[in-house]
Amino acid sequence: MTIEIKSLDINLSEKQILKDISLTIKSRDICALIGPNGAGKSTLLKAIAGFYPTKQVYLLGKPIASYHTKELAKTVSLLPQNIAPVPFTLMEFLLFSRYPYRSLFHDDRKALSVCREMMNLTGIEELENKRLDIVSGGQLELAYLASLLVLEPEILLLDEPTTYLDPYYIEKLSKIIEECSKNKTIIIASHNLEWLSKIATRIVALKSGNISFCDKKIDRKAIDKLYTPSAFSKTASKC
Amino acid sequence: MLDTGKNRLFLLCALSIAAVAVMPFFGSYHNNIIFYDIRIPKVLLAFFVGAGLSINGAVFQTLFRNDLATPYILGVASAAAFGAAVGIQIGVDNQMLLSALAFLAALSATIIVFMLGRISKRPGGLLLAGIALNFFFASLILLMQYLANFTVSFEIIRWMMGDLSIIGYGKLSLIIPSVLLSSAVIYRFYDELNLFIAGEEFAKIHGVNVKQIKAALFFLTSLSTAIIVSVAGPIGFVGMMVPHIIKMTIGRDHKYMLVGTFFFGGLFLAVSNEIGRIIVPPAQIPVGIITSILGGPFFIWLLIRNAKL
Repeated sequence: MTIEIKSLDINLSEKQILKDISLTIKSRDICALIGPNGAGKSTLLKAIAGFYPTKQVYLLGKPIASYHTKELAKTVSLLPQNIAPVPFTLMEFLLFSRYPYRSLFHDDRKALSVCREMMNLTGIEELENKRLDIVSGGQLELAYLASLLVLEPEILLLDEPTTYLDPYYIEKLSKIIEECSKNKTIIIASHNLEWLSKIATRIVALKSGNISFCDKKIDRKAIDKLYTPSAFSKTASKC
Repeated sequence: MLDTGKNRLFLLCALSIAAVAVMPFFGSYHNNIIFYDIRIPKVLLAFFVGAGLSINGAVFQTLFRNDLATPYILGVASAAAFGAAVGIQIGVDNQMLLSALAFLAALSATIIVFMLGRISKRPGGLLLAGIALNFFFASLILLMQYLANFTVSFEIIRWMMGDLSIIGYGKLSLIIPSVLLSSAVIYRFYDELNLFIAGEEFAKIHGVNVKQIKAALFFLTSLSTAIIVSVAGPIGFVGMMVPHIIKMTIGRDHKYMLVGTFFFGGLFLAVSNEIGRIIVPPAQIPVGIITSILGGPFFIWLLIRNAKL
């Protein structure tokens, strides 16, 4: 099991966001995380990425709290929902993104080749010497994705990756995700159900901080019920 | 040759070192004492004060993600000025003692700001605490000036204009090691600073221990600023302007930007100080006035030129 969550609760500023979440995700899965706005998708991703001090999340069999910050960055990586243009060229950006592999006395010899490889994988080689504050939204998204891939993480978390993308870039992203899934476990939080149904191997639905259902593919009826506002249901499923 | 940032950086560093080496020879030769005990220390003091204030400013601009941030933003300078004002008021006329008082006040302000920033949970807590402290000390200084007699009041104003006059190497033995040490430590964090530009969340995802490194950098730069201000007074504008000029000419990568900021800051203050000495001899115009008069229009010109590009 790559990711194991055992009855996780998250409270943020005295409001309970996630309630008693239990979930295991197998390695090489492409897991879609769906659910209405405010269901707790982003919070769950952040919890898996180690943003909150919690003992209920295990990555590769180890509790997240026992990871060193740099070690964690090499294991799990999160593409945040909001990304900002940065005043660096793509190459500069990718090189310093290798941060956890560097130390004062240890040179990161693989840096250049890994950065080149991830540039090729995401198909943005032409941006190598272009500054990332003058590129398009789609290119910026891929640049950020590449900056995560150079960390060579086992687990890749994507929060609403298609928000700024046109159909051409969504197609591109699907191919990248497919390629990455050969050696990574991927979780994607999104509202783009049609796209998710094409690439995901597994669906996890959240509603008001609970897991509402898990399935292999998207079922129309369950979806309609999921997105209909209703009083909070007590029947939390365990997946 | 001037088309890439790295070439420009190399040229800038060479120019700065050459300028600092040549500067003591300006003006007529009097005797060895003036040359060795006044001119050389003065150029060195100006260089290291300018370099230190500029690199601290660059760090603050990145950490606050705010182009207007200066090394004084957390109230260090006004606290130091308050310490010096108290000293002047109670009749301290020893320069070293006055600097010690200014440093003590600046150090306590730094510690207070940090404690306040820690208590406050909001993201801008540290900044707000600094601004509040800034106003508080500025008002205390005004109150003291209002109550003081004319001579004392004039002396306080004079201190706040910044002063790089120096005889011998006493002040330098404090300034040079502290500026060199703090700049070296800051430079060691250039990767982290680059990651901070893309946001703290991004830095955390890439394995930066955000809280720890931010606190360490804030404390280090505040301490170094406190030392500089206690010796040279709150020289304005350098710490805000120099990093911007370097960002516009050399680029934003901290690996190069910090080096450029260090050398250009030193060069700029040394030249300003020299101009202040030459312009109306034998008087020395306070360097803080020169930096703003020279720097202001130059900075605006650079802004306009870059807007066109």
